[in-house]
Amino acid sequence: MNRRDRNSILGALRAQTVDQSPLPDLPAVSETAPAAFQQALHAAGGQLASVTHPDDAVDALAHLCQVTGATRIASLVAGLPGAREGITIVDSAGDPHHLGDIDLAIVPGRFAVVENGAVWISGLDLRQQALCFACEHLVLVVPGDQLVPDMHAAYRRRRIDDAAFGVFISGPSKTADIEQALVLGAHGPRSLTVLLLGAPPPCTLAG
Amino acid sequence: MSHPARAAAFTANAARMHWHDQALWTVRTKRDRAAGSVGGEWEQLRALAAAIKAHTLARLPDYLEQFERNAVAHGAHVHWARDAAAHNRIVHDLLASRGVRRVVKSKSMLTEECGLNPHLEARGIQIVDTDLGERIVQLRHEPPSHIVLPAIHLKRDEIGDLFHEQLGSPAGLSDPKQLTEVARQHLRPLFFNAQAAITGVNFAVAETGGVVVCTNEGNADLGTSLAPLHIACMGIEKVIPRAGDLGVFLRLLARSATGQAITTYTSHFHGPKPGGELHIVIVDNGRSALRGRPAFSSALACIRCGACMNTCPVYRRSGGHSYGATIPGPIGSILEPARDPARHRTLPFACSMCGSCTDVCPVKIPLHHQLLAWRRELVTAGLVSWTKRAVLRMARVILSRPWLLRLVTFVPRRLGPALTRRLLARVMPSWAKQRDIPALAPASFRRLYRKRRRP
Repeated sequence: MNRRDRNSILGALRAQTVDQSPLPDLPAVSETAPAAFQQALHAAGGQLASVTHPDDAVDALAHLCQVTGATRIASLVAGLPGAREGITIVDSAGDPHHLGDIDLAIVPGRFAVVENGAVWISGLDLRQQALCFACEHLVLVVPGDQLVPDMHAAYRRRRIDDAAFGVFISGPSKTADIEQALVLGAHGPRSLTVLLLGAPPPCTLAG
Repeated sequence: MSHPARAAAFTANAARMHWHDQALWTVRTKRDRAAGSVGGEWEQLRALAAAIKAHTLARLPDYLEQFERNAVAHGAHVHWARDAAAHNRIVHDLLASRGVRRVVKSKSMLTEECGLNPHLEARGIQIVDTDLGERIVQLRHEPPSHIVLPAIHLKRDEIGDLFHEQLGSPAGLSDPKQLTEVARQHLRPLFFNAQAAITGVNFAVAETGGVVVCTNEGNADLGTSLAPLHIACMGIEKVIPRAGDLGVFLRLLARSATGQAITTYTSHFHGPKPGGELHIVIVDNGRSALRGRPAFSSALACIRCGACMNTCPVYRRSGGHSYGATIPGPIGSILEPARDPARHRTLPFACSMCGSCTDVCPVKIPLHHQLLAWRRELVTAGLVSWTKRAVLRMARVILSRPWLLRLVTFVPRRLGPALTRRLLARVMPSWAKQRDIPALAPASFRRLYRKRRRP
């Protein structure tokens, strides 16, 4: 705890007189058309797949596996990716260091944010945090009726401390550190697909 | 070494200077587009962010205690470090007591400020900076030149050469995609073999006791999700009151920094992961002292977005290394002299007073006003060069004697512009190098006034 430094720092701060000012109220949630989610996700380098029927999700994933050449898949979403030839389902529980060769990971998202294409992933739904970051390609499955307009709505929605870990993920891992040239797939996933499940193309915003 | 001296070396290569200038300006334009897309809300967000930070700063000790309480309730350990040496000692003790020899670190300007890397390396601990730009400068044994884009001063073929020499990649690579792939493959085993992950903290939420880390590459998350020990280092000014405040700051941060609506990853840590440990190190290192200086305390609101340096014409054309400080650019020129006025005395003068920095700051720090205030402090403390002191004294003498002012302004009018320029080039050569005299009116106001008053 280092009590001496703690007391010294807090003591120094308390000894100062600083003008007080009120804590402002948080702003109202903005109005954003749900259709803007796709645009925001694309701007972040991600892809959107919108499926009405759960069976279509299996097809969408099959297509994705083909496109990415993924054969080793870990899934935290029941029913996905569905049994198919040529793919191995990897158990993602246990030591995260064994997650090093997962081609595609399918992870549930709780809700998505329209203004920036982000999806909130709760640690409560992850057996291993590393799964979201160590895989080559990531699929986030989000209920189609769980879109919120902006970050203000996102933080009103739920407590952020209900799990030890939670993350907003917007698009695939990326960097522009080399001459400002955008490259997708820095250390994390090379691609990100948001699979909006079980609703028609988004037209309502969740409260 | 002074900023002008270092900058002279940078500007000597005019083509490169213009390339650097253009690269940073491009980032500024991306910021403008992103800010514009938020419309009228953008200015409201800035005002809110400034108000939240001002309120928090005023009640900082209470919020820090609340943060600590809630963090501990989630199972995190909270350490306090009054200065850089204490910070380094705490981090080293945590690592050494657990037999850690291999550490990965994501971007933290605080650890840069404290000199953590050399401290650990001297004690036999391997510490790898995993942000691509930071890894590049680490391999080159040089400091980052920008707080968000550490390698912005380097060209792709230089990075290609570096990777060829140090990572064994093929010679002549310069495609950013290929180079990023090289770095990905190089760093991946380092992530998987790391025994500890050190991160910075973008925001520490008092209400919940959590720390938030924002990255685009996912390096902070790859590190912390694989290694059992997570050490998060934060300055005391990183605390914000409520989880809801994150909405305001996160909408401003990435748009101001790179023009993105949000960073790829915005991770929230509340206590350790199952089977792991989370240690948070809260660092003062001069921040409480700065809070006690009303002229400069609002500089503590800084969220380290880098927008001020992207827009600053001096930074764009002199490069981050010209500042000789951990944090360059306008905000660095305010924070660093507070830490060491003598060493960084030329920084507040590395400014054209254009005010662009103040315009783009997401938390509305009055940057150029504070730079001016710093100049006053430094002159009062006698920390400016004798030539500057002499010129200021001369100006005081001339401006306080109307007859002398009349004489001094009469001379250039009589000599004419050409001769005046020659005179100035002789008398004040460094001033005259890039400056020109204004157009001189044929008669002074005083003379015209007298003429018109005569009946």
